[in-house]
Amino acid sequence: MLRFVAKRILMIIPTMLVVTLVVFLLINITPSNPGRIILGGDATEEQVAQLNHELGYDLPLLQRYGKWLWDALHGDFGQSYYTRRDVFEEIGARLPYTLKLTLLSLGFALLIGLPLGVLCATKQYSIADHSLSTLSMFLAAMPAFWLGLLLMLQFALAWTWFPAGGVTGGWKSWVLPTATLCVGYAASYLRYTRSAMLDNTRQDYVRTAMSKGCSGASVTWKHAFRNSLMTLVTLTGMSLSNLMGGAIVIESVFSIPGLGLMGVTAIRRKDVPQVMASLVVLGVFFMVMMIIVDIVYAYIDPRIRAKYQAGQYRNARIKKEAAE
Amino acid sequence: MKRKLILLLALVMVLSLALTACEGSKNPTGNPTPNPTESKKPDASQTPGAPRTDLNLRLFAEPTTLDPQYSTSVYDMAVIYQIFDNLFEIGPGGYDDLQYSLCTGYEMNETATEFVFHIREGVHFSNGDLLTADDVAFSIQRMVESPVTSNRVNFITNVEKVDDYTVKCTLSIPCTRLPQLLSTATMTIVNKKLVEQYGTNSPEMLVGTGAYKLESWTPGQGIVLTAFEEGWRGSPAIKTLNYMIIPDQTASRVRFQNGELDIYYAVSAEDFELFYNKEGLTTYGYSLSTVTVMAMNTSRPNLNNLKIRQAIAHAINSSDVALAVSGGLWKTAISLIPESAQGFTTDVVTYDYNPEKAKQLLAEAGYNGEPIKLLYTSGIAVTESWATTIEAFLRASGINVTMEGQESATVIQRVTDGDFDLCMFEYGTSLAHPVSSFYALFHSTGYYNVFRYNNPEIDQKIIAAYGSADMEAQRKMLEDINIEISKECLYVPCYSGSGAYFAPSNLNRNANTEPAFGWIKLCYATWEN
Repeated sequence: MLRFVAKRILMIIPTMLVVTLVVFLLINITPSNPGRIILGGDATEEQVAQLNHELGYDLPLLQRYGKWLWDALHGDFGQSYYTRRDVFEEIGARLPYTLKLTLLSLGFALLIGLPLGVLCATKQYSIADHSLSTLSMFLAAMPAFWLGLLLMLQFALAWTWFPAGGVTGGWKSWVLPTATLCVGYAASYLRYTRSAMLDNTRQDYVRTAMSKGCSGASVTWKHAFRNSLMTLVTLTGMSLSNLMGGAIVIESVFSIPGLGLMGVTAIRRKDVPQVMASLVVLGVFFMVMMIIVDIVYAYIDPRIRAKYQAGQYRNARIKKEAAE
Repeated sequence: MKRKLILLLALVMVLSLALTACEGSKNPTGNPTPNPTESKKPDASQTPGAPRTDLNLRLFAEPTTLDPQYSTSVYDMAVIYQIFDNLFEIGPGGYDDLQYSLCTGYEMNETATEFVFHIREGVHFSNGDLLTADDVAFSIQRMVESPVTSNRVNFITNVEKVDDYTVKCTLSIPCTRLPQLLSTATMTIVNKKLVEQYGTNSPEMLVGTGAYKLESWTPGQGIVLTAFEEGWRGSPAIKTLNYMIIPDQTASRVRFQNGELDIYYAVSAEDFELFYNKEGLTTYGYSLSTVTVMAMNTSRPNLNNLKIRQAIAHAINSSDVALAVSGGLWKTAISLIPESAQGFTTDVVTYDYNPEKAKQLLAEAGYNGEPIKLLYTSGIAVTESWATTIEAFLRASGINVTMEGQESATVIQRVTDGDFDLCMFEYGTSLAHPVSSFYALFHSTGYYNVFRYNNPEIDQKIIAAYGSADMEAQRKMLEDINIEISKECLYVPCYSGSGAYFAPSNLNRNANTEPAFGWIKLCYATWEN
């Protein structure tokens, strides 16, 4: 298992190399002039050329990528063209907000979606099942931007229960953004859980467990739900990564100084150092998430654990035979 | 039975969702009345009944820098203007009515090539350092050397300190409007010692003589300025300026309505209707020097033909463009030079909306339907609306236009490189020094000559205007140049930057001038009870 994890961690390096190269080439397909962007319209061509030279922008494309990579490997990801601050300083200032929003949203989505999904599956075709399933369809289809504004108008403006935006209002500042973001994911979890549970509750082992006298709760949670977790773990891993990079709409609406909004602004402005640094952070985060998902798989599913261990036993046996 | 129940449930849910989208109607316009006198974030230090001492403002985007001589963004300048001071301030009459600030008087020689400025004594920076001629001379020299500002003041060839409170500037060409130039936000006075010690754009050098000092700058969230009590203007009534970064317009509207924000800028007619003449609010109108036009690249095939350019101008109804983009909030422009700038004249040649004439001119010019590309910035509602409206007008007159929407950095680069046929072009004429704008726009070597216009006669006229020491004569020259340019039909004027903002009626700007709120010294503002 440890070897597997180590291999996966090492795989991050070549994957990130390819990803950064592709993105670097894509972002440089259309022309840009960072010297002009930084100095503004009143600077002379000579001044702009001088700054572009200092930034290395007059080098050939691949050489520029090589320079970026070399500097990155030495921990220097450069400065933002616009703010002229260290890009990791910018990311560091924003990452906690995105992480907080992401984790809160995911947490509540799981807390709401999983139990309700189990309820729908165990009470299939009941009023609860139909109403929750219908509701989840609507919530999943609702655009986050629209929902966010709706919640803001009602809860911040009409009822003044929560602030309309910003992060300085304590825990109240996080209620509306979290609610907006978690609603869609909760609906997805509800439906996936319901579907996976329905699949598993029809399996023979469940009938066997029940005929052996296991209680309904035990069969539901210890057997069926546990086997449904495989799908949900994958979904959770993907959701976390999507949330990290995709919360831009919510961050914009609620004025949350997170990574999503910063990243999209950087792309629009062609702030290459900022884009590349954000990409590295999000890319590494995504890959680490996938590794964690694999580890959790092994923890949940003994069959997968056995495969890893079988691999180790096989290798040990081969070595022993070779030694003999 | 079960099926009916399910349908009923679904109907109830749909209705409940629809109803939550409606706001309660509290006044005839159907919108909640804002309650700006009850701030959601009252100043903790104030006693009940006492006027507020804080002001919550919006920044549309993160400032890039607060170093005055390296600032390129208007979001920077709104904050810079509170921390730093200029030698002069804009008066109630605008740039033609300057008031003394750090300067108490000046002399100009007959040829407007030498200026002597007398510096106000006893002024301190917010760190306690005394302002002297060293700081002023250093700052002006910095303006000349900074690549961001140098183009505006590169005619200053020598800056010298005469004594501790006197600075002399020598110019290579006459410039009667040097005081006006020195009153803009990027021409503020910095602390020489701090800049030399800590460097450009460092947090430590953000210390000015203004009424406010930088308390904190939280990336992505905002900037807080607190009063510099020992400033030369005295203690301001408003002690805290809280600049919040709010990118979303709807979010800022909601925050204004529930009192978290004190100033709201209308960006559409709908915004204007929402708050105009509302009880408890005051409406302030302002005009900017920015005009949006459709620029034509005269170096391109077809567009090098005057008749085709005139046809394009006749094909577009600028009033409708302004209406489509702003809902009527912005005024139709008649030239790239705004009304508030020297050089503006109503005698310019205008091209009325006349599709039939457009078609006739196209036929006379021998236009065969070759595609003409329209470049614009994609992903922004205003530019998208502008582009689709322009496209519709051009197609209706038989012009084969193809759309090229790209991200802003690419558009800037392509316009700089001349890689476009038609493009949306927005330019803010320098009200302080309009002749420099004429040079930038219409001189064959001007950086903003996106039209690729090359006319030696116009070049000479611009140079002559630049070198004029007589303000009135210069004004007349610029107006003549404007008229000549209009005959060449280099662009189609669309709309000029103007708008309105709203503030609680008990907030007195006590402003000495009329531009947008962000451009006034907030140290003069007060809250009434």
